[in-house]
Amino acid sequence: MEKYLVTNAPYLRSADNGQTTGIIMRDLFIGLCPVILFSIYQNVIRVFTLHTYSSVLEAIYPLITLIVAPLFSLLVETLCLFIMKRKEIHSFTDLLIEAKNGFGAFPGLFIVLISPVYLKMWVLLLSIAVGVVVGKMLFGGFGQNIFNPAIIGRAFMAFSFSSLMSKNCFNENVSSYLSTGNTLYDALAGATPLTNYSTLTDIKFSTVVSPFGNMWTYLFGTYPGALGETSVIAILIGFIYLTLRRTIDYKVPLIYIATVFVTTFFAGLKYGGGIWYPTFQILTGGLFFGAVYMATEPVTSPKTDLGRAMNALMLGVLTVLFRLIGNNPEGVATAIVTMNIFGLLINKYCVKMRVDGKLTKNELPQLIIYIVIFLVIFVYDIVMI
Amino acid sequence: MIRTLPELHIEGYKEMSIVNDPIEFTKPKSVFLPLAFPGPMELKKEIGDRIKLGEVVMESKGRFPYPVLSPVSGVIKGKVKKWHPSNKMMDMLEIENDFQDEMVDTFKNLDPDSMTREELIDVMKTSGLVGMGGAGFPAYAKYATDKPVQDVLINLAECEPFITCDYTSVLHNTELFIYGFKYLMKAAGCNHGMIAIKDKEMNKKIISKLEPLLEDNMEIKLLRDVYPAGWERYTVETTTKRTYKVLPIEAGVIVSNATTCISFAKTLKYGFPPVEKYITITGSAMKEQGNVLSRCGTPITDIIPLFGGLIDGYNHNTTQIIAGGPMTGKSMYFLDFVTTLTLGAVIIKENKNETKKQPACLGCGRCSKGCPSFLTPVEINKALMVGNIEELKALGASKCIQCGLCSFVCPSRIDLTAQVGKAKDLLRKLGAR
Repeated sequence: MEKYLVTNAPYLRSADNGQTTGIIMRDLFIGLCPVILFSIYQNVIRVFTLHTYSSVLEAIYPLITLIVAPLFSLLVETLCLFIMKRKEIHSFTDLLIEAKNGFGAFPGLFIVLISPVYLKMWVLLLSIAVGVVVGKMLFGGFGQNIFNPAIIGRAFMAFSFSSLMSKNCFNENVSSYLSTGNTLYDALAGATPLTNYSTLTDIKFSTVVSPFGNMWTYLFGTYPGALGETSVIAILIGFIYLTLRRTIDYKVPLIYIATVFVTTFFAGLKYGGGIWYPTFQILTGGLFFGAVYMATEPVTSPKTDLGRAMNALMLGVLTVLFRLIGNNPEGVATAIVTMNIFGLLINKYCVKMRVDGKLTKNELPQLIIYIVIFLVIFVYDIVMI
Repeated sequence: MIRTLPELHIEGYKEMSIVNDPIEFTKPKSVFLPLAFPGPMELKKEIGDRIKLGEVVMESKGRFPYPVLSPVSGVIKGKVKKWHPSNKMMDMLEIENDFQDEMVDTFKNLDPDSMTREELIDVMKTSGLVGMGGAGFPAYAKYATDKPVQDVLINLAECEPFITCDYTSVLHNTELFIYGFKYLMKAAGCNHGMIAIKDKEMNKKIISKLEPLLEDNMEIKLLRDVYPAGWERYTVETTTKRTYKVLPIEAGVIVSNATTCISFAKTLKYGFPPVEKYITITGSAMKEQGNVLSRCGTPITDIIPLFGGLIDGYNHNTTQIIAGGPMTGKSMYFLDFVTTLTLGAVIIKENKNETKKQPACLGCGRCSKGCPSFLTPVEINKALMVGNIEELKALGASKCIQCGLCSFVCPSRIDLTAQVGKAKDLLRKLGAR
């Protein structure tokens, strides 16, 4: 008698109609494309047309990093898989399937998009290796990581090579955000708006915003900054695509950015108030990139709507805190790493709250602690800085 | 704010099995009745005895005992091992058909109009009427309640994709359906009845046929075309706006399936006991699809040839035989199993994707969003893997209704429904101890 295939119920899957993890990750890549294309325009094509480069290699260097970083990241992950899963991998095909299911190119791609443009190649590659190995593979690979591997790599870079990070790899005297011959922002030596902001003592429109142009400059992203972070328009296009494809939860970026806006609006009152200050704060420093592509990363976010909203709110006030108090341009990255840890707790009690359908005695203290911490940071952001 | 009920539409695949007119297959050579399913049974006849259609073969033991009636007339041949739709091999009683369909007199010439509520419930009990939607719970146990009943709700949602057996039986027995409905209401001792049906194109035909026949105290309630709209709790709560904890009777509602209603009507009107029902035979690996009226205990191997058999060149390693619906049914090792009163469909379809290696959980949270019981299956799965019982309790694993949605939406094809089912069983075992 013929034996038929037996599996567990259900026998219909939305994955059969293309809703697979592979498609989600493909959509994420498509959602990143506007950002990648813009960064190529801003850092390669524009440099060519303005003739602000010293050598052809320098002109195409951003493009090289954009290609090398994901490939290197994939390579590191495949090597890790080969070492870690030796018992399960019997052939080269097995290794390829494992590598394909690990989506190993993404950490590298993200790291290169949030790093200075003319960073030394070995610094970039080392950071990618650390991000992939420490941030992802040591936890067990795709889906198991607690922290966003790209931010781990970026943080490693910021803490270990802080002096190298600001230096252009083609000419040590030039900022790593600018090509050597670029004289457009000469007066500021190629600082990004936020590094410039952190050195200022006198905060006003003419010193904070004007040196780089006007608000439209920030919206389109034609100012010095990391490869992928500058253009808000490109990120918004990606955001709309990802929302329509339901790859990300659109509420997270909206809540996150709105919180930063509200908090910095109040914080900006002492500089005379006005919309320009919060607008400057949300348009710069990779907030949009972090909110759309990194705070929504499903592996490290809470699994319920309420948990995600709470996470996003806290991210907002923490970003302002880290940005203003520490004079730290990496506020977004630090906030996301912090909330990766506390997100686990938030997820735990939001999940239980959802089961009960109401707040019970078990969850009430945690919720109160959350609200207190949130308010303290919020007030601190507004009053103290 | 904390939670909203998910409403997910699932592609129906129902059209393929209603293109052809339903056929009748009431003359199987032998029928097979499980000897110890769902609980222990006491045999009332000896092997070798002659038996009439509708005569009591065995009686189930348990809290709500009910008789099992013979679906054919003939001779009891003996015990054999056969596959059951739960994908288990079990002892079954074989009754050889003499093709006479000689019926017992128990239910002949009943006059339901002059019967009291108790007498109607007694008919349910002696005819062994069970819920034919899948639960198989004896109907009299629901109707003999001392709590006040406000409504009888006939569940015609037929929630799961592919299945059209309720649709077919109501479409072809509309008068009988209304007749049965009337006396179900009488048996419940209430004066209001509702028919819950999904609001979709396919059902317009059935609604237009039902509407002129409805009596004053009956109404049709439209459900949204989502899964699991036919889940008892969802149906009751959306149609009556009343909620309950464990059983619908707490909200003053008795829920019965449409096929149960028709079977009851057949017993009252024609004296024919509830031993036959429509079964949907469908799926992409069948040459033809359709519904067949058959006696319970008929071997599927007798029914499949009526629809031309399986398609040419099928590969049994990638073909699945599903007893029941595609969301909650059982996948069978062999085609050699028999029908029961609770079996609604046999789906035979190709399934080539299940064996491929899949990426790990992405954490997208779709399983949580889709869960009608507001659970987070991925967290339950994690707690189960490390054996954290306290966590399983806190995560409410025992509230799972095994609707299959979490596995359905999972982009990594993780068997979440099965895992949460395991967690639920584990908690039940620990709780019973």
